[in-house]
Amino acid sequence: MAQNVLNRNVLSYRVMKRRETFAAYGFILPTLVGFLLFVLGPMLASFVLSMYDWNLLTPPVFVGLGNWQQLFADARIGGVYLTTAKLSLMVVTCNMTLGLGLAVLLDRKMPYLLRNFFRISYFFPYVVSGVAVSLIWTFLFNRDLGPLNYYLSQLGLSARTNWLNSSQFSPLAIVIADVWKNVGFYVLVFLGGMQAISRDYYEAAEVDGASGWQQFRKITLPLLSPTILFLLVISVIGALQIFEQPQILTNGGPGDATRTVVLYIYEQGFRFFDMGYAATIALSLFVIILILTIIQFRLSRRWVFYQ
Amino acid sequence: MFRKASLVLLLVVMVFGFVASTSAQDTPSGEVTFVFWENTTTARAGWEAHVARFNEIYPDITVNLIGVPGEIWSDYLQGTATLIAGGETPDIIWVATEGVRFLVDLGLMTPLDDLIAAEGDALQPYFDDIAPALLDSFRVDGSLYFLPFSWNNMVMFYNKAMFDAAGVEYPSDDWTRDDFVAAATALTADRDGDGNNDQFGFSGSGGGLFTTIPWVLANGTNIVTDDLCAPNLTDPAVIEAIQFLHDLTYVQKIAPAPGTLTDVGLQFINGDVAMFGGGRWPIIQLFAEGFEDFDIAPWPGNPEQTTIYGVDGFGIFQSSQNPEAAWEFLKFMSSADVQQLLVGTEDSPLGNIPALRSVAEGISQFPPENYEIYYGSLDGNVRLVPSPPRFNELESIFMRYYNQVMADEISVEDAMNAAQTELSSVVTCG
Repeated sequence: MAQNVLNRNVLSYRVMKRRETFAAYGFILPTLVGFLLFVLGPMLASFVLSMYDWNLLTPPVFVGLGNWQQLFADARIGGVYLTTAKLSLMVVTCNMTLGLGLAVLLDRKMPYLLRNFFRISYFFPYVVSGVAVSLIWTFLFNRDLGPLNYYLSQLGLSARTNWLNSSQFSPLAIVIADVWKNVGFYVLVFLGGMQAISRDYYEAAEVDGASGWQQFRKITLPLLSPTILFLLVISVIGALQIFEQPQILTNGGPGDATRTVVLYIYEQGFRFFDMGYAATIALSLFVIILILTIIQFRLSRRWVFYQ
Repeated sequence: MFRKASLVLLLVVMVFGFVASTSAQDTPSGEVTFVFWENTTTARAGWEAHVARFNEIYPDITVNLIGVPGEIWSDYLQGTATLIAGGETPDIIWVATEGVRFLVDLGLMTPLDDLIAAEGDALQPYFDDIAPALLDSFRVDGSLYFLPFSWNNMVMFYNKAMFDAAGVEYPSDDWTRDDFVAAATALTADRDGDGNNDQFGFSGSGGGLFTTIPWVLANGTNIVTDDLCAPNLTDPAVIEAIQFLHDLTYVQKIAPAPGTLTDVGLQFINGDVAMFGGGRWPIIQLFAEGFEDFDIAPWPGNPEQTTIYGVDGFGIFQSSQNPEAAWEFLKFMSSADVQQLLVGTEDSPLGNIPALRSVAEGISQFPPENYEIYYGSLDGNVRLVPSPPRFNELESIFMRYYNQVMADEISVEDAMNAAQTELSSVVTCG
């Protein structure tokens, strides 16, 4: 009799376990389906497409590695990647330092309403449509009739800066527009990271006579390093794929001075109707971003401090 | 006896049924899909109105509208290609000169000659009332592929108030490029005295190939050879025209530095820009803003006047499942009644010039006063916008080098030479 009871308990434990497993899969199923349909599927399709020549209107033609040969023979692609690298370096640096600086300024005792006002103000540009914002920036940046140059001339700068059509200044214009839009996200995440640091450390440091700067260097930064790593990785991945600002502000010009890789992919695929080649470039960008991310994680073991 | 009667009855019913079904097939019916360029917020409403009127005559034909967005013609062609790649099999397309060779060379369009011949004299009023230049633009290898619906050219808009204030005479109907430069110089000013001009005689900002090429055409040449088989950018006359445009901004400083998206119409209304180039389309914005103190002049000659034109019309896809219904729609859209709608309603003019000459007269009810030079240009020197099959790439590559020139970062010769090399594999016939 006791033996039967024991067997029934064991059986129901297995049944419970199976049900739990099914429930688990059920909960992650929507995300999984979304990932398969909208991320993995298109990635595989793009990988297959890179082996074909396709102009959207006639059936695709298999070319094997022909698109990769075209990539390595392309006179413009080197310059495009260089431009993307320069822009990414500027954008990541500005976003990270400005974001951290603003977060430090916000991380102090202040009225609840004031803190929320700042948080909303800095984060608001992040949620607004990037295209709409970029269109307004084209008015602001207009060389001859835009307000930015007007106020700069009031400040004494006589020469008018050609923000939107100059190899020298257009990259700056894009960085300004991008940082204005995205720095709020960095402020928010840095602020969250800093507020997770226990005040005890700072109190102990003050007792020991540490200055504000020493506290920042020795306490804040190390304890913030996981956040810094997260933002650095996200930032690099995003910056290498900038599209909205160059497309609207400068259309990649003048020449290829602000032509980012994604802008080039768009041009090859949708203006030149060479979808196979566009997919190949996209694949090369994927590989480069993947390698950079792996390098970042490997290096992170040296400077990231997990509590 | 009964069996014989029922046999006769069966025969009668069969014959009746057969006759009934064939007469039902005489009237075209079914569904057709129509692709158009949705470049303004009012575009769809305009086409829906046309379809509603079409359905009054042909209630059995359902016209499904597909709007493709885009800033310039290249965007529209690219969007249409994406649409077809996505599996749509449209029946009718509204397309312009820029896309003609692209679609025809890919074998996507049905030649209309047989359909036209089958109509006998019914379409003669249409063909008699259209300038030959418009029809020729839609012929490839002698066959007509599209029926012209409307068209546009490039003229010079000038702000009469600014001309009056500066004491400059209005442009004459035979003015030359030198006259233009003199007027623009007189209209340029440094209003706030900071050493930089903030009022400009002319602005060539915005737009693409269509709005930049007229200066090249005025020099008697073009950026590609007439047979569309090679680029022609190393022609000294082409280089001179581009140098002229560069110098307007950097030497004479009578034009602002061009950007990609600039609202020149607004600058014109605000009195910051005295002249700009456009077809009939700027009328929409100027009228909407209530601005009427302007007029138009022919494109300045150098010295002979010539201007650019582009036509749009309707064609039928080879893959169409219902070409009879599609043809009915094409015929309907070419009627004078429908063309009349291109003129616009009394509180909103439209932006294209009707293909029918008699109907085009109707644009006189709106500004500008000098409206006759629109249709009149077709009787003079007009050159079709250069549209090889790979027009998108031609425009993209040319404008990239042009923008570099206009950024004052490369000499015109270097730019045109590099563009010539890059375009030699794009504009080709072999």
